[in-house]
Amino acid sequence: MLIVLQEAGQPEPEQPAEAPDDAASRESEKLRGAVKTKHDTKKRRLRKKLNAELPAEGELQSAQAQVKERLRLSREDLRQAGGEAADAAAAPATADDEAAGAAAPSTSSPAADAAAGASAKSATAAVAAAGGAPAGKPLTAKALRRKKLEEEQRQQAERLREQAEEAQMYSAAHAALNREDRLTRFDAATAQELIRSRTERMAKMTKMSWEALREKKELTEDEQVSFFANSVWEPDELTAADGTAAAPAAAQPQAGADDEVYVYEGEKVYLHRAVFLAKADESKLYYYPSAASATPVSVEHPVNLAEEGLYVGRRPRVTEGNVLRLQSILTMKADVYESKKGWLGEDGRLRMLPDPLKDVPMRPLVPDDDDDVQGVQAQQQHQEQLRLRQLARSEFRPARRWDSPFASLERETPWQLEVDIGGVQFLAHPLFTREHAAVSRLRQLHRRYARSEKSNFPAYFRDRIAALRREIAKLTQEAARLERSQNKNELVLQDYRNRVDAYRAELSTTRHSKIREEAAHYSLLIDLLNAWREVRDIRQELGFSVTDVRCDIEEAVQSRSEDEQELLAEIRDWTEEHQSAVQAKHQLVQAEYLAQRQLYERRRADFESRRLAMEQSGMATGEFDDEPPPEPQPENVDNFVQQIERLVRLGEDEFGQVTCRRRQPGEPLVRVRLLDNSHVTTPLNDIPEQHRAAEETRRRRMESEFFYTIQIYADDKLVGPTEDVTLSSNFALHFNRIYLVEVVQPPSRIRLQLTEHRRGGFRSAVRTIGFASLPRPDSQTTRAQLNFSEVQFSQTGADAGPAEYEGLIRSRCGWRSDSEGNILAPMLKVYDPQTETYVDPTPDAPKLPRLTEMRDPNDPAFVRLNLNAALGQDPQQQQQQQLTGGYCRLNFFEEEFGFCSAEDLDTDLRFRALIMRDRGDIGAEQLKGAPMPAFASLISKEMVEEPKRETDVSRTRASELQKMRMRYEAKMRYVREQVTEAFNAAKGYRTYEEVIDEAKAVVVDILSLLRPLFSRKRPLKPAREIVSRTPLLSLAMAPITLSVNIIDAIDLPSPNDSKQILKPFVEVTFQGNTLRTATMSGTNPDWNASLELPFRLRNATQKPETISDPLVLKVFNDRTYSRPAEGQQAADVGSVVVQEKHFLGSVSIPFSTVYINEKVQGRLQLRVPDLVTGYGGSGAGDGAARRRPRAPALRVFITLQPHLARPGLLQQAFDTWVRATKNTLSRLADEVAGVMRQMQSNPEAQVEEFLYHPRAFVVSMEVKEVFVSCYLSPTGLAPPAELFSRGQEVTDPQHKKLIIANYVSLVPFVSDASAFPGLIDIWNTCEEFMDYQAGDEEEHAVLLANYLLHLSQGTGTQIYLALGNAVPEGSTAYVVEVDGNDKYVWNPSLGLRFNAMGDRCPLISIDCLISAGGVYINKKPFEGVRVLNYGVTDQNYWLHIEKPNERTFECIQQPINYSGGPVGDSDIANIEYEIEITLRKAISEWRPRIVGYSMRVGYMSTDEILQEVRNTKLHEIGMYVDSSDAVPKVQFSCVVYLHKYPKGVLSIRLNLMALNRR
Amino acid sequence: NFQAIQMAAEAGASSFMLNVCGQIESVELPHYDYIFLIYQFVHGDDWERVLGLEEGVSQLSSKSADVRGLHAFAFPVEVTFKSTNPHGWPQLVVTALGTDIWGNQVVRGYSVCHLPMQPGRVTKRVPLFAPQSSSLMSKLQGLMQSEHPLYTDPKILGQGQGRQVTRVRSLGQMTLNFSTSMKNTRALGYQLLPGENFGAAAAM
Repeated sequence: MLIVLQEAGQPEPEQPAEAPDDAASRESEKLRGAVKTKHDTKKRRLRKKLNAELPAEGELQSAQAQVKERLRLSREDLRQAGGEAADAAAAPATADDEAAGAAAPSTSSPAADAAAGASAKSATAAVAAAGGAPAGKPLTAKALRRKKLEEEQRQQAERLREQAEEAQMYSAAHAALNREDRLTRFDAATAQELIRSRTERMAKMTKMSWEALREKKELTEDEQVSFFANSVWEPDELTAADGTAAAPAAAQPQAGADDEVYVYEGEKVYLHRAVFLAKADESKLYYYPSAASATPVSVEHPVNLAEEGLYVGRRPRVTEGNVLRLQSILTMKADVYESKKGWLGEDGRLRMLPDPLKDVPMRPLVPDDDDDVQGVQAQQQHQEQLRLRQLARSEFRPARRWDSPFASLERETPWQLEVDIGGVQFLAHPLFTREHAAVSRLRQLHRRYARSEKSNFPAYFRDRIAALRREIAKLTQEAARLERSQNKNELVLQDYRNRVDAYRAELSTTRHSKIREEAAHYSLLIDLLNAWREVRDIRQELGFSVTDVRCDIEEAVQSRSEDEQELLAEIRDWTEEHQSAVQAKHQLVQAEYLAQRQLYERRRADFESRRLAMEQSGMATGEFDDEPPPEPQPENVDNFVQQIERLVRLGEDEFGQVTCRRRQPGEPLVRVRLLDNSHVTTPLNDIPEQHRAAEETRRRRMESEFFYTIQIYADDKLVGPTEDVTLSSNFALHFNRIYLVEVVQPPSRIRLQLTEHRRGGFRSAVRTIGFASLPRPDSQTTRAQLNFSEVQFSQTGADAGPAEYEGLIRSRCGWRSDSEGNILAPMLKVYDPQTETYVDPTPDAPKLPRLTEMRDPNDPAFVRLNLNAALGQDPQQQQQQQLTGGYCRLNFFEEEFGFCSAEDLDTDLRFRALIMRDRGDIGAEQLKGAPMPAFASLISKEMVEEPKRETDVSRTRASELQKMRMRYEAKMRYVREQVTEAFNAAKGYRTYEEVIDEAKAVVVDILSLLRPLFSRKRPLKPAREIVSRTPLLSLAMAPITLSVNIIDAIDLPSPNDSKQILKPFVEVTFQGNTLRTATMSGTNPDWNASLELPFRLRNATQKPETISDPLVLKVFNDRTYSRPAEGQQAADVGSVVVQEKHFLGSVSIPFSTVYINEKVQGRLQLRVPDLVTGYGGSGAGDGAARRRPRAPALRVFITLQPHLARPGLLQQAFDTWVRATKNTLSRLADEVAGVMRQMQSNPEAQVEEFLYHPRAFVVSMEVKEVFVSCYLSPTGLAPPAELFSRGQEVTDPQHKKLIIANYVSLVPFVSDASAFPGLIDIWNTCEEFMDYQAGDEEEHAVLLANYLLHLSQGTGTQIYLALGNAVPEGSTAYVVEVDGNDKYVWNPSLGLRFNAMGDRCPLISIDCLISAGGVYINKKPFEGVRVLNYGVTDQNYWLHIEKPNERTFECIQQPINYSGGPVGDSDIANIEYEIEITLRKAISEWRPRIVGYSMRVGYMSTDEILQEVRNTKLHEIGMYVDSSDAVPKVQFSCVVYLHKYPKGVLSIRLNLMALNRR
Repeated sequence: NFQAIQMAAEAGASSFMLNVCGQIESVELPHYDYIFLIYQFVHGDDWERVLGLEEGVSQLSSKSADVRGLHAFAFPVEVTFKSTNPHGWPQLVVTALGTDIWGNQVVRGYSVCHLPMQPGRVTKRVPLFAPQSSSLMSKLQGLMQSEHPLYTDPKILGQGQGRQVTRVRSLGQMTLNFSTSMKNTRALGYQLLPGENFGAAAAM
């Protein structure tokens, strides 16, 4: 049968399984596994294929059915055969088991398995098995267990058999479909059908190439489908089809088309978008199947390896999704991955290597390091590890290109250094024998000897001596000739003599040198011979030799007499020379002696003659006591000759000690040569003594165990180790290799490190035994130009004894030159400032001195220079570096870096204009909106002219007082400039809200949503219309009016004349416009008048906050009465109505106050003259109380129409600035900010946030930020004592306070706020305030608070400086006095005290209270002054910010020196006079008729006083029109009184009176 | 050069001119569909716009259907400036606006770039970014109320100050091309060379 035939081949080996022994069972077990897996795979494969094929090809259905039909018969046969086989197999197994007898139960089951396996695998070979096997014995043993076992076996066999049947069936089908020859045998008709249909289709499709398809306009679906399927539709495909990928594609063309879609979508899914964006080429985004006709897979010889019985391994398990993705990638990128064919196997599936994972966990063999057997291997491993470690340690980096103008840019290769390592010769080594040591010494000595021999200094000196002698002889001869000649030139002669002297000295030293050299050579020779003798002795002693050194001694016999003669000649010559030298010297000395003797004689003769003369004149005389000069003796030469003889003959010096030994006469001349002769070394076998031989053997083995490498370091970076070298027999290491070192930056030196390794188990047997440093060669030097240099190294052992290792390293290092002879060395270019180019410095050129000043450490060109300095190789540079602190200094070139000179910039108008515009000095109005002109010539000079310098204060003609004020102004201007600068800087700061619009956080919105739910319902509350705020921009266009509502007034002074009724009205003046209310009557009138004053800006750009025009409210009494006309007597005839305005009081509000505070609302206390004649006094009672019980006050509401938005931006900007600059005070700032937040979260406070903004820091006169508490001294400041001692001593504290307040209020009020209205105040200290006699409310308040602090010391009164909001000033500073339950508020600039709880209190609210100890920030500012009722300790109301106890927070107040002041007595008289004159003049001009009053003002300037007086309208009194046009007769009187307080505080009293003449 | 300046001064050339014509080619904003652009110029005091639109609003664009998410605008930008001073060289500020799920107009991104300083043709790719909410709550709120954070004045992007308070997120890219021509720059003493030459000059 076919089936049997097909399958019979494989199970052949299972026949032994039936052999009844253990081996058979083992074998059968193995086979069982193999067969099973094979069946499984085959089955799976077949099933898949059938599943794929059958439903697809309808025509196959019938064929399949037929196949099945035919199969049925054979299957039945099979089943019978299988059953028999199983039985047969089971029978022997059980028999075996039985035979084994008492085998352990555990063995039974494998045996059974084996049997089962055998039966299973034999299922396909049923016929053969059934046929071949003898019939099984009938079963006799019926043990229960065994029975059960059998049952199981049988079941298993059944299962397996079924599987086998199936497999057979499928394989039959497979065979039927695939193999035509078999098909013909099987069912020729079916096969014919199959093939015909397929070829038909193929023919149809191959006709249609892609080009042909493309030419058609429209493709039918079929065409498309078949085309796309074409790639996998191959006739051979079916037969080869073992996989699943090709078959479904062939069978289901539609599915294949779907795949295309899938591919694209899959791509979309898992390919990162970035891939596409990177490509950014649209054409690549879409996939078109390649038009290339070649199919991606070509199958030449489809072979199913597995089917052929070869092991193919298992494919690794990869999830289908991944396979598909990979496939689609490969398909899409077919053009990219051109080797697509390589990716896919013949079966159409992706090629994969078999699963690398092993079934059994195992680990690789690890060689045991300590094992001697594996010594060499371990050594190699060790070496490898070492190398790896070294690799890891030495950071190999890709060479950097030297991208600087200093290096040639086209260079690609790095610089290459060649390190030539010749070898190492050990001079000491632990393995040295005595002989080695001796030989090493011998070699060293011989080296020196050879060097000495080569240089041959004795011969050199001999020649030199001869030459010198010749020269001396010649010169002496010449000198003698010259002396003899008639016209001898003394100078020339002297020169000759000098030269001879010099030569003689030289000769002497040369002779000494010669002897020394000869002696040195001689002693070297003796040492050498001794060393050789030592070597010989050692060799003789041991009886063998381990070194190969041989000494060759040549002796040249010299005759003794010749030597003697030579010696004698040398002595003679030397003596001669010496004698002549001594003679010459003696001659000189003699000549000098003669000259001195002559002088002496002359002096003596002089003395004698003088003595004679004196004796003749009878004077006492003395003896001539000068000694004659000693006559010089010629030096004794004999002693010296002896010395020379001793020196030359015996080498003794003058002390009889032998210093230099010389060859004695008759001694042979010896020359020594060292030869290496391997015959010298005794072979090991010939060593006579056994133990020495063994020792030597061991030593040599040890020698071979060591090997050496040299690590080459370039600037401490390992650039490569050499290969390993073993010791040669004479302890030398021969490297003889050139190592290339590629460097990017020239190293400063090359270091060689000799390491010793020992073969064998010891991992740690690596020792560094020597170092050698090679200097970095010049950039011009190649390796070939250098000689080998020998560097000695030594390494001592553990005990600091003699060197354990010692040796010489022969090496050299130079730059490499390439084939064209270019030196591959960096050219260090340096900048030459003279030529302004980069030049190559020649190696020997002196360094440019100026270079040292321009060492930029980052400049690669100067690395070397800097490095040299750092290494201390260049002392000059080092010094320079120390001077400059190691920093690069470029100021040397500063001028060269500039575009132009500084003067050019200064003179350039345009540049100046640009700078000024940047600073904000030039506005758009100067440029008239045009851009900056392009040329300086187009800029007018006036534009860029600096604002006029202030004339020097001290030179102007002004009184001291004025000068002082001018100085104050100057100072303030300076501070203002500073602050403005800071403002400009701060303008750049923007808050998040300013920059970004975003949704508010939810929390806030929820709150705001919920708030109406919980707010109180007050139906009676009038609905208020919110006034829209006009932005500033429209300010210039829209007509703006100042709306002044005058509501009422209280406590106006009543006229003294009780018959009169007070008829007050209010006049409002602003910017020259005056409006008035109607006249009311009574002292508490009620006007309810609304006045609208027009408001105009002086120019378009003026900011409203800088307008300081005052709004003046004046209260007058309208006194109208009739009186007879001038000249008339009778009252009834021609009486005239006289209308007089009597001034009662006034109040002045700067416009900026209104603007910044948006409104002024409240009761304003009128400023009333001290004495208004005719009003307020009733005549009875005593003065003070009766005159004015309560100050009159005016209730007003002033605002702008339409509502202007107040300037907020600047404030915020400034706050940001303040916060940003507050670094040391950040903690405080945080607290302040916290309070701010706290208050902002309160809705009411949010509205009034501006008003209650606490300012914990203020700007002092030094433009520094100062914590406000620092302005208050804990003990206060002492007021001037004389205030209290006028007339009689004031003791009443209340009175004292009033006096002080008065004093403080008299200090002129000069606002510094107009520059930064309401935003920032510059706070002066009290001393500055008093010195400048100017300040605004803060200064007044601080001074007053300090005074009050001083006064209230010891009492329970607490004094605070209060920052808050007042009427009408707005944000201002007051002083709060808390005395038990009484709370008072001081207005410091008016000097008035109010009851804090009273209705007159001008202070509306308090931001914070400031004491010397800290700041109390009001948490509930909306409570007004009532908050004072709660003590500052109440946490609910006050937040206490304590003054930090640091040095920066110390009180800045200095005690005030009251003595002296700018105002002298004469000044006072002057001022008095001036005021009086001015007033008189003015009043006569104004034609006044005055009722009369007195007023008290502080002194600022006369103009202001004039204004004050004018405001009273005194001059208008009595101004009426007479019928006869007669001038009314009114007389005015004016008295001015000035009082001077300490420190030049002036009080002026004016008494003005208008007298009506009736 | 001095002579040239003299000549220019005599000829009455008191300013130089910068003409830029180009277009906003495309915007890559793969996250958003339906956007349009508004452009503005920011320039210094000395600059004056002579010709061209101060602001321009583009068409509404829907992104391409592929993965690039490309919005092609081909929106022309043509402007001529006159100036005496290179300080404050004009910058182009582009705001990309779109509609969110509630149908409200929201900002999708900002970008800013200088107009080219060299004559010739330049293609620029400028990233787009949008400010981020300051907090998570505010972001949620913004989503609900469709109040995404936006610059109160986009012109702030042309200034160096005040940006440190904002946090932005980069979103996409914008491709612009400019063709620039200039007049009188040399006469006024400004040397504006094309980029490569400029670099070489600096290196020499």
